Amino acid sequence: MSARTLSMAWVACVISALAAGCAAVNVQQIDAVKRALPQMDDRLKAAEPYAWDLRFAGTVSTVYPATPGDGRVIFASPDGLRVYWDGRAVYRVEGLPGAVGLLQSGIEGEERWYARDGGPTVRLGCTPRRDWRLSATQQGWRVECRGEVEGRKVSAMQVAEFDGAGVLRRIEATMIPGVSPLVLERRYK
Amino acid sequence: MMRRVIRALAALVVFFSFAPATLAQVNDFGVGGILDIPSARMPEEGTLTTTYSRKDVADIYAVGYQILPRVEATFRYSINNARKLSPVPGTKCDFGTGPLYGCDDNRDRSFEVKLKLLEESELLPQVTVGVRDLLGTGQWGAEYLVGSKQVGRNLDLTIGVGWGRLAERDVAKNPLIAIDDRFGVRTPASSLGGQFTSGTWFRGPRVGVFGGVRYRIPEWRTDFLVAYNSDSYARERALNTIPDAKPVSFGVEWEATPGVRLGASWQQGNQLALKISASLDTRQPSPRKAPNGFGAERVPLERPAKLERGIEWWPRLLHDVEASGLLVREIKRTPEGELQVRYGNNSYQVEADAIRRLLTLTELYVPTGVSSVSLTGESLGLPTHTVRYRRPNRELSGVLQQPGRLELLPPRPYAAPDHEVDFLYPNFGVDVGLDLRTYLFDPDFPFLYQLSASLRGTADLGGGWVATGRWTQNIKSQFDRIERGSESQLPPVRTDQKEYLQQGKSGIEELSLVKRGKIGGDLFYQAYGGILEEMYSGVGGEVLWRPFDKPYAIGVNINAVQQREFDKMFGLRAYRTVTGHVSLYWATPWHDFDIAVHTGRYLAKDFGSTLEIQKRFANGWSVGAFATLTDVPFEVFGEGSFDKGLIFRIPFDLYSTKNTRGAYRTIIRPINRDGGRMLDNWPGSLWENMRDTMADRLRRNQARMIPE
Repeated sequence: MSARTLSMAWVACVISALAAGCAAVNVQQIDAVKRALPQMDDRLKAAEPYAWDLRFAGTVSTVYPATPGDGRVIFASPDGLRVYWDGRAVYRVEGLPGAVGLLQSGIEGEERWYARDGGPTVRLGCTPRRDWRLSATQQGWRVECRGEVEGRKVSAMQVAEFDGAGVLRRIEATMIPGVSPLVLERRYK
Repeated sequence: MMRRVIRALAALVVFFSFAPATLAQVNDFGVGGILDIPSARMPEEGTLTTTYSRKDVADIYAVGYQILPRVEATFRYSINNARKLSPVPGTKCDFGTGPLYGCDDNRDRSFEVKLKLLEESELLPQVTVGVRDLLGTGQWGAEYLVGSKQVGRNLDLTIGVGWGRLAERDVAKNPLIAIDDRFGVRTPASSLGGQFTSGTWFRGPRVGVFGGVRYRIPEWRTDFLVAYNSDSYARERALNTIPDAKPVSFGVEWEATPGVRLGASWQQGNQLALKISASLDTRQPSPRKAPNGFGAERVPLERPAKLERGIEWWPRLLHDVEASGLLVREIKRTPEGELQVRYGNNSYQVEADAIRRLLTLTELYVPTGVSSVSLTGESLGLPTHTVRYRRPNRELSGVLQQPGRLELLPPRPYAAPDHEVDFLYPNFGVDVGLDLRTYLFDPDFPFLYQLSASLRGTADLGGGWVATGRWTQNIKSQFDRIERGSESQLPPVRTDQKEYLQQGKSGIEELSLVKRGKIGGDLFYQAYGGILEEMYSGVGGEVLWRPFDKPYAIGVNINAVQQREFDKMFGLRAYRTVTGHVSLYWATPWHDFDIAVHTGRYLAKDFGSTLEIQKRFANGWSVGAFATLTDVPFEVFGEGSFDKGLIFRIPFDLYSTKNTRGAYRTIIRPINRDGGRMLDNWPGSLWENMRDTMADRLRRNQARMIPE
């Protein structure tokens, strides 16, 4: 086999490996090329003005709100992330990236319970809903809950924030007591 | 040739356009200035500027760096009379052989340093002093004291006094003669170059005065320039490159994209000059990015069925840690409520980001009963540091919630871990990439390249044993054009490079076995054997004493090596030697400078020392210089007098959407000689690889470790 043929065979192998995705590639230009290509389909582009940012455990996801008409809002992403809000609290989160699994919360009597895949169910006593107002354009309500888990005191909260026109713009909700809350925020104020 | 230059420049512009804008208004020589005169202006500390200027007198390639807020340094390579202009119409200069022998065919390397003496104020100008040819042959030899003052919003005025070439249009007696008569005599620099030309600085019987105007129209991102040059280009006129040189030149500069400037000018009354310069800020902080596998481009993670139920937190933690591009090697929960984790970071350029990700995940998964988390990190598989995080009080909510407290500690050994991840040794890794190799500053072909595919394989055998191999397969090479071989008076330990480049276009770059470990708390070692680098095979070892939380370290390495055959396969040549160094390292707290001194025996069996100074930023950028003096006399060493060069490490992380520890590291030598040469890669590699996990670096980014 001539040196030229060998070279060509090598190049073909390398390109095949890259195309098949079976080899780690350290060519950074690929990132740049990917950025230059369209990443969003047309339907999502149309929905962009309604996008919300969901922050939880160091990750940020884009979700879009929808309502089934019964006062609930479902924030959803195309890759299966769903956050359910019943107008008072976030009561279910599914499809979070990683191994978090399903997070649920609900009310039983005076207590709010929190359940997660792979973890114990936690019950906390909560305050009544309290309204707050920082300015004419920043107001809302909050509920705080407290209790004990594994001998340590923990807290949780549900906060909703509205703008001057009374439109919801931010939700903070503890889904795992003791862990920083999940934050939903309207991207375009 | 023109197309090559355009392609190279296009690549340069694309690369530099990733960087945020920094203001660098450089002249044709690559230092702050106007057209071909210097000004007192200099960019922000940490700004790297590359410049290419082209005119009849010379094509100049320059790399400038703002080392300190007040010090700017520039290395340049000039190709004189690149278009072989001849005074006889319709003919070209045929250097050295033709009828027009005597044309300017010089290729010159020079190094300029500029020091800011006075900061601009409302009344006073900014003042700098500079030496244009600090180490070279003196072709561009000139010194200057220059002031620049902004007047109004748009006008920047410059006026200066020049010595050397900048005194060719002299106006007055050298005022320094009043201090010492010796300033009246300017002696020529060494023909070998590479030596300090201090005997010529600010000397000469007369001085010249130069000046210029920069008028800026910000809305158009355009500057209009006028310069009066006291350099009359006497040398170039004598060599017939240009017929005449008028003192006044005009030009315009346009900022095409932030940091990238294009210029065109009419200089000396007879030359069209073109220039492109690009600047980037090497100090810019690394952006925080989404964890790998969890960002906008994430692929849905397949969750093992066993994670759907049960109360096990540990497999969930492990799953997300690995999905984030990190490793957990061991984990232990103590009866005192501490979780101890030994982790590895293969993805995050900034170690603090890896720690933050781990702490975020432990906050998410680890039971509330755990009061603190200790993370022990590693470099090259060896534990280097521990970060202890005391989890915050959980009783408070919202804004009242305080973050936990962080402590930096020496690496902690963990006895009897609860969980140990089985990495199924030996485990293998394969990496395919494209390599671009350059061959610079050959007088005949100043820029040649080879594009190749490389296949790199590693086998982690466990217990600190690692085998590494790398094969390079040539795709396209221009190295066959190199004609100049070794003419060294020393053993050709590096000047046989031409043979390796031509006969070993494809071949084995590395095939080695390494054992790394720790002897006691602060003593690290590695022993290795095999094909160590492109030109040498052998065996060797390195020991590094690096006390935790101290900014210094001491290393010793020794290597018995034999030169490889030029085809870069398994054959060996006759030359063999023992080389080794004692190295002192100091991570100074001063402007991110790291200093190293290596003393010992070099490949050509010469004895001496290397001084290495690097400005190393937390974002992974590193820019530095080194110089080696050995017992080889300058005349025996040859052109350049002693070995020296520039070091660059460019992290990919800053220019990628993903977290990556990949980087491009290169050393640029103005000339490739045999004196003062070490093995590539091996000396000091423990220090280099462990630098990011030293206490000073971790402490600086401590706030960045707090979990989200």
